[in-house]
Amino acid sequence: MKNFFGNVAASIYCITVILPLSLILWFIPIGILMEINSIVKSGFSGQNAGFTFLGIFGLMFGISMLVPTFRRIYKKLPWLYVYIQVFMMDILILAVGSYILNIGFEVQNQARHTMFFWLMIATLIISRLIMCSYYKFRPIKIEKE
Amino acid sequence: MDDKNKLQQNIKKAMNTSRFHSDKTTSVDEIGSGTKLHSTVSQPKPAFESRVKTPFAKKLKGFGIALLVVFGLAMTFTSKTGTVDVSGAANKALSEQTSTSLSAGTILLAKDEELSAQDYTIAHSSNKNNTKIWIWDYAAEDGDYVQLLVNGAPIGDAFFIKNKPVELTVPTVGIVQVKGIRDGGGGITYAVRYDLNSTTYFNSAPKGEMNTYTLELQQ
Repeated sequence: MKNFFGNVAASIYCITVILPLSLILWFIPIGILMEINSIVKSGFSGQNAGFTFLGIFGLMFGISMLVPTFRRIYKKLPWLYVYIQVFMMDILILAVGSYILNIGFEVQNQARHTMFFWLMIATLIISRLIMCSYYKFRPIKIEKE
Repeated sequence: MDDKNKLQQNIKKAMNTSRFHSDKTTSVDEIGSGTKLHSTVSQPKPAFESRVKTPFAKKLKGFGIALLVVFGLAMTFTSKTGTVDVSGAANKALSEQTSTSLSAGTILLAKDEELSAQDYTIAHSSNKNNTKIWIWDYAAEDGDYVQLLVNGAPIGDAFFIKNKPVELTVPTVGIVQVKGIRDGGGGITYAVRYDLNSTTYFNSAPKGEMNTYTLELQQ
């Protein structure tokens, strides 16, 4: 009986929270890249939306991984863990880049804008390289129970 | 015969050990040396198996904790409006647009509401050449930009005004102007506090226009 209620709870959380958020995950990196583009074009800093999304997604996915009942979702859909991990890393890197750019564009100064733009590019490249090396030594794979 | 006893002892030992895998089978040949026995001994399934954490569950838990840490950090980096002052002095300041009791950095509104743009003349008796001013957004941190001019010349570049006050130094006599550069939505709302007369002015600068503060030495 306990198992039955656990499965029901996990199914509800999966259908109402995890799967919709997993679909939205696709659009977040695109959204952050668009925000970066608008900051550069307008010359004014934005709202750090990347971190807002990162926070919301981090909380929801974090709960699903920490609550034992909800962990069943990942036993049934083992690819989901890999999918979420890669997307969250991507969003984190882009959000940090966007944050750096926002700091630079808080003051209207061309030299400062250029400096922070290249700082953002360097951050993105270095972070991606670190991510690549991490996964080279600890390859991510779909695991089954 | 010695091998058989040794084997029995090993089995007993294994049965008494609390940590083992249920699927592990121990070949007798591995234990006994020399004597060929073809039977295998299956260890019984432990009663607490369901409580044993699998490596995948551990990974999930570890990543879940990391995600909650990310959540905490993300909330710190996300810009949000600070605590709105709802005291009587704050309400009075909203209607009068000036206050001598509120400190620098006071937030009056959670969302931008444009107050009327005002110019002020500040008469004082300070003998100093320069004075400090603090400028901040008294409403939402929505991306308003202003630029400060002293006697018609800009002092520094235009900047994003936040809830946290920015300290600047201006001369005690002259004309200080605050120019609205960018409206993040709902009007360019800012407050400026003069150390000179310990007064805060809650004002609004339309985009491209200026509020003028004339600083005069009182005879």
